[in-house]
Amino acid sequence: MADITPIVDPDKLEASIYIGCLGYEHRSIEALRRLASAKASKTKLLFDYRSESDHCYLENKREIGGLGCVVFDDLKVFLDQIRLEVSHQAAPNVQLDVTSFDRRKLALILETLFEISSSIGAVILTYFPREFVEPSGELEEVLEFGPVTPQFVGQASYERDNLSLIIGAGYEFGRVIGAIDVLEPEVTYCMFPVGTDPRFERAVAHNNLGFGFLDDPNLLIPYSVLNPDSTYFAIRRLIQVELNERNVLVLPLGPKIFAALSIIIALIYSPAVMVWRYSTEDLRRPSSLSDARATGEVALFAFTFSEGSN
Amino acid sequence: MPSYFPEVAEYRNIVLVGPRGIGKTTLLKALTAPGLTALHRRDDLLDLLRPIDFDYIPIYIPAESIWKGTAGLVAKEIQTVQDRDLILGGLFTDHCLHQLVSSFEEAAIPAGAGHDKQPWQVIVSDVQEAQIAERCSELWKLDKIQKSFLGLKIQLLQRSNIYRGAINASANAPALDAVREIGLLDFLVMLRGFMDIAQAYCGVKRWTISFDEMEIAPKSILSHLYENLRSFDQRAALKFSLFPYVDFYEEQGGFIANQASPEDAQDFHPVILSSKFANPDYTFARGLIQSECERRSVSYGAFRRYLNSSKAILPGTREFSDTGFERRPATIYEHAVGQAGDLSLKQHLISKGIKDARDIDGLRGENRRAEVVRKVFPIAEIRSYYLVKTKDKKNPSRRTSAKGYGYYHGFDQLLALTEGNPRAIKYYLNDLISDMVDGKEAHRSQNAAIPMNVDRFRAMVASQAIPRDLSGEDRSALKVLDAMGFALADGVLGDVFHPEPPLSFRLKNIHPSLKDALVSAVNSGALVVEQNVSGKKLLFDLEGCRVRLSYRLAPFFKLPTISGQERLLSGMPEVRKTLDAQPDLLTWADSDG
Repeated sequence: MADITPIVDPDKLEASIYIGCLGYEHRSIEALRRLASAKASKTKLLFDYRSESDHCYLENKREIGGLGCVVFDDLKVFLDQIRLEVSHQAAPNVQLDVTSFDRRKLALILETLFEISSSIGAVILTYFPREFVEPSGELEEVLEFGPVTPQFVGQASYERDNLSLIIGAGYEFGRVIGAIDVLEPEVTYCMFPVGTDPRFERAVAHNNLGFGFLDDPNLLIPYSVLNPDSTYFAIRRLIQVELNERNVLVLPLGPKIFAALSIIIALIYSPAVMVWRYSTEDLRRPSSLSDARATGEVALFAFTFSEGSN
Repeated sequence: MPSYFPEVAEYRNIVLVGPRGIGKTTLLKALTAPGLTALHRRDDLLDLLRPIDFDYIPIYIPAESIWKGTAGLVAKEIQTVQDRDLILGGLFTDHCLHQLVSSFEEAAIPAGAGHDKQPWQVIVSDVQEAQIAERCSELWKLDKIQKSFLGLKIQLLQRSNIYRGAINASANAPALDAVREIGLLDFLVMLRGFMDIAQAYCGVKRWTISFDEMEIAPKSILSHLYENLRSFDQRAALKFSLFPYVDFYEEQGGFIANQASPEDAQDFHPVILSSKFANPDYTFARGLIQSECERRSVSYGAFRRYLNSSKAILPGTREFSDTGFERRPATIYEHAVGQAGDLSLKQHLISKGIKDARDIDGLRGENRRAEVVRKVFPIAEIRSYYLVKTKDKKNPSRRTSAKGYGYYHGFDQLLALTEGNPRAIKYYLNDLISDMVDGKEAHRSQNAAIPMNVDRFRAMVASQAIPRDLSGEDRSALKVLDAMGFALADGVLGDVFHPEPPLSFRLKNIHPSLKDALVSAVNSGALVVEQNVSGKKLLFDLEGCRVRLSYRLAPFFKLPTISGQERLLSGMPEVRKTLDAQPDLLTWADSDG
């Protein structure tokens, strides 16, 4: 599998292909509202969640009307179109807005980009944090808990025994401790999002850290949501070290930028690293969904592909 | 050491039944070769161990916690049942064979160390190892012939990665073809072959094969293993650890006994570790707490006194002793009627000839005391905590939204709140002992620990994904439990005092939409099933069973930690009061003063 090399100034890059989604969250098209690179990209491919009755979907749809976006509601066709557009251009820069994609689709898009990595110039990830909304403080029912896609089922190795769980904490009540009690890992690292809204940090801490599951305070690792570069290196170092002796399972709750970075690193080390997802929302039940508006800040992470060494 | 250790350790088929955290894994790990060696080094256990026949090579096969999630993905990604069975069966078999080799290695000692050999050990020379590995490579259809146990394990891991790769069949068709090429692997056939080989080269004649946490293994394989309890092999005793509800026949439409089916007591010996529905025995739990106190250099007696000293326990309502506590009915009466305004209790007692608190202490006769004191005051006590006096003459008391947990404070309540579950005890003790050492007041410590541990348990229950068709009415375990708990709380804390309110449910004609949720709740320990008279039957069907909510959840609903009458449950119970009226645990309150 390919490796990546982060680019220092992602905001100076221009993209010729934009990949995003049209969803019920107001911020799902924030990149097209705010970023010149996204607006100016020659090709704009959007996955359409078709959530007509939910929150800002129709408003978003109207707003992108004149932007020349090509919209798909079939994921397979959408992924094929990404392959096709990349193959039609010479080493294009691809901008992927990860903000409102669900983790499974995000994983499949990143898998596709890795698959055609030799034809891509650079990839720019964008993420727009949401305005803080107090979480419900209730336990949500878990619908699925397992590998995000088959690419992430992991690999058995004689060198590795037991399980190391790396959790990107979110603010959902009890989700972290629930995962720990189901998976029963030998060691748990909890990566804690900081740098956006202090209320968000307080909610993450209250709803998860209060359970006191960490034996050692060093296993709590703060990461900056708005500084994906340092987060990328922090996750990568951790995975690299843990893979020497344990099977690594990453559970990216919380901000999608963490999920995207985890998936990228897991793809670099593929198939050794597991990435799992918790699914609690269901598109057929609008009450399980909530709108999200962007704060105005943006996290940017860009990289080029290089030949993998593992 | 739990009292049932000798039962489990004996050379015979065992089915060990209990919810998560009850100690099944600890027990089965103690029966591995390194575990037995360590146990026999403890002088304090020698008398207990001496009568037990350990003349067998112990094989320990644990499940992997990631199996369930992986199986869910296989079900979604792989189109045909045949391919799904090949992949899941292959992953399971290669995992078990790997563990089989590892366990055998642990029991093996080199040829020169024969004078120290224990009954659970086997002498294996390098030549014998090479011979065994070579024969196993052929029998297990490995890609290359191996000459060592290490080689066998690496080959098995490599093959298991082929199965993993096949899950991504849409992108990796050759991997699925390779899996089809390997064909169906039968672990029991391969295990029997290993026993033949080890007998031929090393003379091993007796084995125990312990399958731990097998409830997360593929169900079709589990039912196959279970059927083999009847007649697997004379040389091996099989030991299973299972959740309370046996659900591996669900895919076949439920368990229907046939001639091949093993029978309790005849083909295997069931050891039920589930929480007791009533009259629990906390001897082992007390021992665990005592050990933990010693480990942390804290006096066990001081720890008990610390918990019992909580200011949130209503003054004078409990008389503590070394064996537990006794309720003081007259004082409870004063709190309930005087402070909480429970005039309904007062009316009830008047109807029994009790006009005020002084009459209670004067009661004579066993039957009379049972009728008036023992039945009434456990309920009166919890009402005295969670009812509050009002100025409304029509409704002189109402349920309080107080966030304190005083009713649940004290050492004996801690035993109840954990149901004696070792893992639950450990979670509670982590904080409570630290708080005691740090000088934190007992009521504050318990008020923080109780809701945190209740929420932790609820989070674990909520995290048990149940595959469901959301277009229908299927319910999550937590939703069903909450409805059950709040419905019972209505009876306990309602306007009218009931001396014996329902505190359990009899499951009758259960609506299909509740079935999976109830099974999940039973298996996570959130529902405790009343065992039949003998207490020795595996549970294949919930219909007709009596269940109560685990006391681990009691503070969430404000339910007493006692068993009570039953009511029928067929569908979702209706809750009279709105949930808003319920005290909120989420803030991990620090009330009670």
